[in-house]
This record gives sequence, C-alpha cells and structure tokens, in this order.
Amino acid sequence: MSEKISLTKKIIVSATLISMMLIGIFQFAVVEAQADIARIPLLSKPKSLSPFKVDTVWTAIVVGTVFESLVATDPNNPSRVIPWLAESYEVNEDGTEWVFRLRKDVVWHDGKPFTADDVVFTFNLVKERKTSGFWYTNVPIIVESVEKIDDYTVRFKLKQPYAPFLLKIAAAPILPKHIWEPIAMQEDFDPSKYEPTIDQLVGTGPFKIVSFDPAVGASYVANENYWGPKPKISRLIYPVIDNQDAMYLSLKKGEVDTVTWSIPPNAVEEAMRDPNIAVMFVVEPSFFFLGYNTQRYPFTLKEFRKVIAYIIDRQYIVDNLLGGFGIPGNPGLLSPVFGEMVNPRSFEYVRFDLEEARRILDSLGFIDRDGDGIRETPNGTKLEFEVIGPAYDPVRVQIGNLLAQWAAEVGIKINNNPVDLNEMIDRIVNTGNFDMFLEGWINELDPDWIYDLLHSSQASPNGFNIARFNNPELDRLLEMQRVITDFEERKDIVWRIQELIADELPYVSLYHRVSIYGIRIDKLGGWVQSIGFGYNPMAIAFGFVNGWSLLNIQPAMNLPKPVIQNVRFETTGNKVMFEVAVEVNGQPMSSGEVIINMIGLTKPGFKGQIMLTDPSPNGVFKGTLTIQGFEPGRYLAQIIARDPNGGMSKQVLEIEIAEAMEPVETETVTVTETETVTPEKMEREMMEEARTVIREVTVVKTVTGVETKTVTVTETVAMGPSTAQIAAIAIIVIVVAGLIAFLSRRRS
Amino acid sequence: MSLTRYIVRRGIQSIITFFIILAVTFVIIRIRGNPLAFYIQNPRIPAEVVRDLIEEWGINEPLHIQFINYLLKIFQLDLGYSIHYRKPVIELIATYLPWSIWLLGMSVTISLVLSMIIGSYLATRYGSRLDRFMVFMGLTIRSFPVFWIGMIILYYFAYTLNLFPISPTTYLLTFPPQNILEWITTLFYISALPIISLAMVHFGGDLIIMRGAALSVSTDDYVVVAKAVGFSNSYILRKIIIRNSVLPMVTYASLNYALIMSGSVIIEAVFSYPGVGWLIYQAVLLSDYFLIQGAFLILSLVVIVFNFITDLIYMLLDPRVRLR
Repeated sequence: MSEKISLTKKIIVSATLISMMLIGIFQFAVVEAQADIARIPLLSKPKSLSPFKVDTVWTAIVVGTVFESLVATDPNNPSRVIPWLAESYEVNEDGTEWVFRLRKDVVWHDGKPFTADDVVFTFNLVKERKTSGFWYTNVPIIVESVEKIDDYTVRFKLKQPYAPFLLKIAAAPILPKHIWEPIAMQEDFDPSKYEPTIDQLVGTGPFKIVSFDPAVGASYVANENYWGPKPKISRLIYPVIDNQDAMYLSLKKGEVDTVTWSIPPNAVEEAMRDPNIAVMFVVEPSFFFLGYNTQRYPFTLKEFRKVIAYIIDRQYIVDNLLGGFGIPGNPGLLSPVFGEMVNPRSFEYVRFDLEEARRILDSLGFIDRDGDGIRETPNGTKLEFEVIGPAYDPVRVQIGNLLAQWAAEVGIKINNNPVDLNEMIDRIVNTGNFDMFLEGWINELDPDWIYDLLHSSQASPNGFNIARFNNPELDRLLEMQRVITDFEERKDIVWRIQELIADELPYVSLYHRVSIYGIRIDKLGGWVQSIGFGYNPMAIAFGFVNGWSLLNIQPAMNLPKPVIQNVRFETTGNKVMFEVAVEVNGQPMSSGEVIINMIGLTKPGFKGQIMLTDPSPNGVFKGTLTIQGFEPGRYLAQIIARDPNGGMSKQVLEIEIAEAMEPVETETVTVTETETVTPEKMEREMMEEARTVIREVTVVKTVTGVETKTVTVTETVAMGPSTAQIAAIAIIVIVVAGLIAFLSRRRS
Repeated sequence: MSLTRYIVRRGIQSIITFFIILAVTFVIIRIRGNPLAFYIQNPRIPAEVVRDLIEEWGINEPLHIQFINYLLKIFQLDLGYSIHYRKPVIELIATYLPWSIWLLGMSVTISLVLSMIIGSYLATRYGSRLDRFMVFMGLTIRSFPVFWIGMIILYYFAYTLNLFPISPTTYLLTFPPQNILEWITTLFYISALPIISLAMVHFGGDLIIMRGAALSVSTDDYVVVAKAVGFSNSYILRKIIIRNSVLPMVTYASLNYALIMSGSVIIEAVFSYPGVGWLIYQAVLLSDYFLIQGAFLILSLVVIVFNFITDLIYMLLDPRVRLR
C-alpha cells in the first residue's frame, strides 16, 4: 500500500517538474514585433543607482538617463553646449559669475515643479559633502557659492574664471531637493556610500526608471509629462550582456537594437553585409602615445624628440597591430572626434621619414664614431634608451619592439621593457626613473585635459605631466584657455596649443582607436551619433547610445524610408568619388545625409568614412572618400542614407581597385536594392531575410577601353572560418566516430 | 550511533572545515599585498584620504587583530565593504548568488538523475552497441572545454534555431514576468541553455562512474540470487542495482562541487548569465580585498553545505553508514 502511494507521489512530482520545464522551453520567443521598445545592452554591470557614486560608463548611462542638466552638449559639435534646463545663461566680464535663467515648465517625475531651490540644493550638497563618482568632483574646487536670485534664476560665483565651467560644472545633473534633503539630513548620510532606492531616483528626464537589478539591468518607461518633445518610444531597457560576442550575436538576431561596445573586428564584414545592420565607425576620444622624460638628456632637445617621432611609422602600427581599426594619432593630441577644437594643421608636423631622422641626428652631432652601429652624443655616451609599457597590453608591447627595430635603422638602440602596471606607474609617475614610456589617456570632452598633461605645475609626482615638460609659452597658453569664456577666442588658443605640442613633441601621439558600432535599422529609426550624452553631458557616452538618440528613436515603420536609387563611383589612386542618388517617398531627398564607409577585404581594417550632406536638387549626394593606408585590392563600401527624421536604409558595394594608379573610371551597372522591411512582418521573418542571398555585380570600365568584369556573388552571410563552422565539423566528426563505435562488431 | 548524534558530529566537522577555510582565505588574500597600492599611486588622491581609508577598513592593525575583528564581524554577518562597488559585500553576493545556485542546483540534479537512469541501464546491456556508443559520447563530451560546448549550444539553439534567447537579461527585461507562474516559466526558459550546457559537461563523467558502479554491483551474488529467484529485470534494476550503485555516485558528485563551481563561472560568462562568477572575476581583477574574501567565503560555505547535505543523503541511502 505504502509502495503505491509513494509511486503516485513520484509520478505527480516528476510530472509537475517535466511540465514546468516544457512550459518553460516552449514559452517560445513569441517575440512579438514590439515596436515601441528600445533595447540597449550594457557590456558591464551598472554598480549603483547613486548619482554620487557614478564611476563607470555603464553606471553613468543607467543613472544619467533619469537626470538632466542646466546645459546639454550640442549633438553636431561636442565642444559646444546649448541651454537645456536653463533657458539662457550669462557670464560677467571676468568670467567669475554665471547667471542661469531656468525653464518654468519643468516638473520632476513625481509631479513637483523644478525650481531654483533644486539647483542651489544640488550644488551646495556636493560642495560640502565628499562624493566619490566623477559627476560632481570639480564642483568644490571651482565653485565659491551658488545662490538663488528668484524662483527661476540662479547665480554661480566661481573662485577663479574657468573656461570649462559649462562642460565640467554646469553640466552636472540636478537632483530634486524634496527627495534628497530628508536623506542628507540623516546623521550618518555619506554620499560616497548611500545607496538610493528606485523610488528615490526622481529626475526630470524623458524616461522614468521602473526597475533596476545590478545583475540584470534597468528598465524605464517614457515620461508622459516631459517638458520637451515627448519620447517616441514607450519603453527603454538596458539589459546587461557582459560578453562582446553575445552582444553582437544579439544584435544580429535582433534581440537588441544597438551595441555599446565594438563589434568584434572579425565580424565587421558580416555585419556590413547584413541589410538590417548599419555599421558606423567612431574614432574614440582617447589617444595612445609615446612619452619622454624631458628632464633627461638628450630628450631635453626638441630636435631629438623629433627624431624619435620621425622613426615611428604610425600607419604601420594601425594596419598591423590594431587590425586596421584605428587611425594614426594627431600630433596635437586631440582626437578628430572633438570636431571644431581640432587643428587640422597639427597633423602636418610629424611624418615617417628615416632619412630626415638621420639628417637631424647628424646635424645634432650624434654620430657613430666607434662603428658599432650605435650613435654617440658629442660627449661620448651611447644613444641607448629603455622604453617601458604595460605588459598586459600586447599592442603596446609590440609597439615597443617595432620602435626598437626602427631606431636601430637610424643608429639608436632602444630596449623594450614591458612591465607590470604598478611598477610602470611607480616609475613614470612617482620616481621619474625612465627614458620613454607608452601610455594611453582617456579624455574628457573639454580640451582642458591638456593642462593636466602638460602644464609645468602638473609635473609628476604631483600631477599627470609625466613628461615633466616645462615650456613657458605652452604654460601661458594653457592658463589662457582656462579662463577665456568666449568659444571662438578659446578655440584659437587651443589650436595654437596643438601646433605648439606638435612642434615641441613632449608626447608622440601614436593612434586613436576606432570603435565599430552597429545599429539595427529595421525596427527603430532616428538614432543620433554624438559624443557626450546630450541632455546630461556628465553621463559620458559615445556612439549611438546618448540622450539625443533616446529623445529621437522611434519605430522605423513611422519614418519615411529613403531608397538608394543609384550609386556611381570613380576611383583615382587612393580616392574614391561617390555619387549617390536617394529618393524618399518617391521624391528626390533634399536634405538628410549619406554616410559612406569602407573596410578592406584584401587587407582588413577601417579604411575611411565620410558623411555627405547638401544634395543637388535631384537628390544626388557627392563626395570623395580617401582610403587610409591605400593598397590595391578589394574593398567593401557601405552606403547609408538617412533622411532628416532618422529613417535609414543601406547598401553594400564591393569595389575592386586595380594595380594601375592612373585614374580609372568605373561604373556600377547593377546594385542590390536593400529589401524594404514592412512592419507587418514578424521578427522571425526578418531573421530569414537577413540570411537571403546578396548579389552584387560590378562592371568596371577603364578609360583605356579594356573592359574587365567583376562579378561577386555572396551566397550567404558568411561567418568566416568561425567557431560555428569549426563546431559543425567537429560535431560531424564526433558523430561519425560514435557511429563507427556503434556499428563495430560486438565484442564477445 | 543514533541519527541525531551522527548529524551533530558531521555538523561540527563542517564547522571546523569552515573555520580552516576562513583562516586560509584570510591569509592568502593578504599575501597579495597592500589593497590600496592602486589608489596610492594616483598622485591626485591626497595622503590624508588614503590614511582615512586605511583606518576605515582597519588594515592598519596587526594581522592577528585584523583576523579577530574579521571573525567577530562574520558572526554579525558583516563581510566588509566592497572598495570598488561601495556597497556591503553581503548585499552584492545576495544579488548574484541565487542565480548561481539555481544554475548549479538544476544542472547537477539533471546530470545526476539522467546518469543514474541511463548508467544503470547501460550496465545491464554491457558490451552492446548502445553501451559502446554512449560510453564513447560520454568520454568525448567530458573532454571538451566547457566554454566551447557553451558557445556551440548558444550559437545553434539561440541564434540559428532561434529557440531560446541569446541573452537571458534582455528577455527578462523585454518581457517582465507579471505573476509567480510567469516568473517560474521565464526562469526556466532563460536559464535552460546554461543549465543544459553545464549538465551536459557533467553528464559525461557522471554516466561513466554510474555505469561502472552499476556494473560491479550487477555481478554481485545478491543480484545473481535475485535473478535466480525470478524477479523481473526491471525490478532488479530499480530495487537492487540502482540503490546499491548510487553510493559511489554520491561520493563522486560531492567531491565534484568545487569543479562544477569553476565550470559554472565560465558558463555564466559565455551565456552572459547574471551569476556570482562575474563578481569574483571582477573582484580579483580590481584587487577588491573584502569582496574577494567575502565571495570565497560564501562559495566555500556553499560547498560545505552541499557536502553536508550529501552526507545526510548518504546516510538515508545506506543504513550501514549510520552504524559506523
């Protein structure tokens, strides 16, 4: 009897378990075409919800989405700001007093009005209490006092004039007084430790946070009472996908709408050929450089520093060590992504020229007298130096080796010594016991960081002027750019600073990395590319994940979709001239833009990106793309048309550039049309489409009358020799082996 | 020996083990050097801030005092304060550990149950084609790297076949469960692939062990007698062979928990599954003293508890253990 009952129990228990699993498994991705949700993955887990503890990009995105600042970054020009929560602002003559007039129509997420009290409260709180994140760190250093003039006017008094005030102080997010005052009153309140709950995260931004789990991510709903243009999607989620490959796979499958980290370089070609993914290249604002100890002879000589800069082939480093996904560094240090602040002339100061290097060495009197292949200084010491770099970064280890090779060619001996990061910092920052070092620097949006890097008062060990560079003229300019508040005047000085650096070369900028971002254009449109978060400039972000995108993304089906009618191109040496005809709603597209970027197929890597605006009246965009690090071979160009509202479509084109360097005229005869995705189609069908055959036929006509025909047929979206293919082969082998074992004669 | 006395004795043994682990982790982590080295090197951080931090974290005291303080705090369930996250360690672990325990528990259970059933069945058909095929497959799967199996399963089942979500977190946030039933089904759905991968990896080994154990049992005299008496094959399998061969199986499984833990860290990374593995990885990378200490402590606690439970199961399965 007992036996029977236990058996019944067993059956019930196991049946329940099995059915639960089945329900789970067959709860199929009824991935309804939920059109009005934006899914933006984070590569690492956000650490906290506290605005005082924001110290990673991921935490900044999660917390920053909720809050807004007095000013916002200009999406087209990251060095400038536009008034945001403030209607307008004024600065007095000497730049020590700023008056902000606030908008009167702003309400907090909980319905309370936003007033000057909130601004005053926020800045006073972070001025007095120790915070640990990077949002408010500059406030106590610069701000003397913040006072309320009336309910909608606030005056900041500064300790000294400070040009980066707008981007480094006024950009700080404003917190609600009615939420934080009771918390700040608590006896044991410590901003660097306090962890707010979801309900305390009340901001003025376009999205309200509804859930947060550091392990899973955050989700938001649109703020219906937003003072500005209402968000065009109803939900926003930031899931954590802490694996670069899984993030890309999710994008490819359509589980997420963009990526927040570079697509793996070996998948770029596949992503570019996907009709639903627009790939964009963004130069990072950071830079990697070689630095000298400018207090040690012969690095005290400007001419000698120039020699070292001349022996470095920066294009070679980009092509071979970064896999082509980078650009040679700006000798003036600023990454091209800083827009207007970048002085194009500073690029001309440094080139790869071993002959010139030898000539300068000879003229300095550094001649090899004893014939051992190493030059000596006039007083007889050999030119033998050590370059140190972090051992964890293979790129910089290899740069060290290359540097040693190049230096040997001009008669200088350089020993590459990769060391542990701690040892390296100890040597270059604290003790100053080094000749040369390889480092990287991640920049803020305001060029004031050059001050930290090169002003003589910042010389290590007291600051980050690791080169111990001391140049009175540079010091003067760096001090000037700090206090000049007028944008144009300041820009002139920043341009002069860059030229001076490119000439003096206390650091040799080696490369800026290029991030590869992808966005899906089939479900959401209206992405905006910008560095700086937009309505909350402190929430550092770049690529497509920024406040401007959040305000503008909307279901692609609501947007007019441009159609690329015809693409013509002509190649001349390393230049490709494009003519792209675009139609939208059956009319020639009269505004908007066309973005063309290229990767190499013969020699992989990022080869250039241009943005074409101002079309001719019949909707033809024209422009010339210069291929970086040109070599004859096959290239893949991606042409993205974006109408002013954000609707996008794309095409890919294979271009073969022949050995001949003389001008070649080519004409495309047929180009694939990107398939139009109708909103009715379910996600699953979209997946199928992504795998459809892409055919490209290119006919190349040369001027000489010789006609060559290139026909490229891409059968499937290939993963390259991928894990999947290797896996498939391995599985087949295993199964076959298993079958052999299965079928082999039975042992007795 | 009575049941209670046995449990008490095993309990005391577990506690002693726990303290030994506690002391060892304490020492090992301190061998790594000054946790503040990274911060001190930043010239921007004023010396007094560093001094304050050292005092706040109590790392200026002599080592034995630190250890006593540490023990006292553990009894108050205070594992310290994470330097990197600026949150209590216990809170951090509480966020991630349930996910890992769920993954571990499910995969171990599935692997054990399946291997018991299939292994003992194979033993009865020793030398058959099926037997050789399964042993071959078991050994092959066992010798593959965990991450590789994970990646293949992810690629085929989530991407190519589109049966499961690639990222559990995206699914959870896109379709937030509304009630408890939905929670359960969603949990099964999003964690199915990592559970299956981890179970697969361990199934290979478990199967071989179970088959071996069942084989040795099936030649024992009492099985022969049972056959002679005329019991049905299925009865012999269920009542005699499985029951007797489960013992070595349980021993093997309990010894394997630590290994499974390490495997789960990798699987979590491949499937971007929100588990404790990521936390430990980051903590070691960032030299987050208290977090490493706390995480290792909790993990060893989990292993000890699992072992303790195994012992209890052992005792229920085999009355002879109680008598010894």
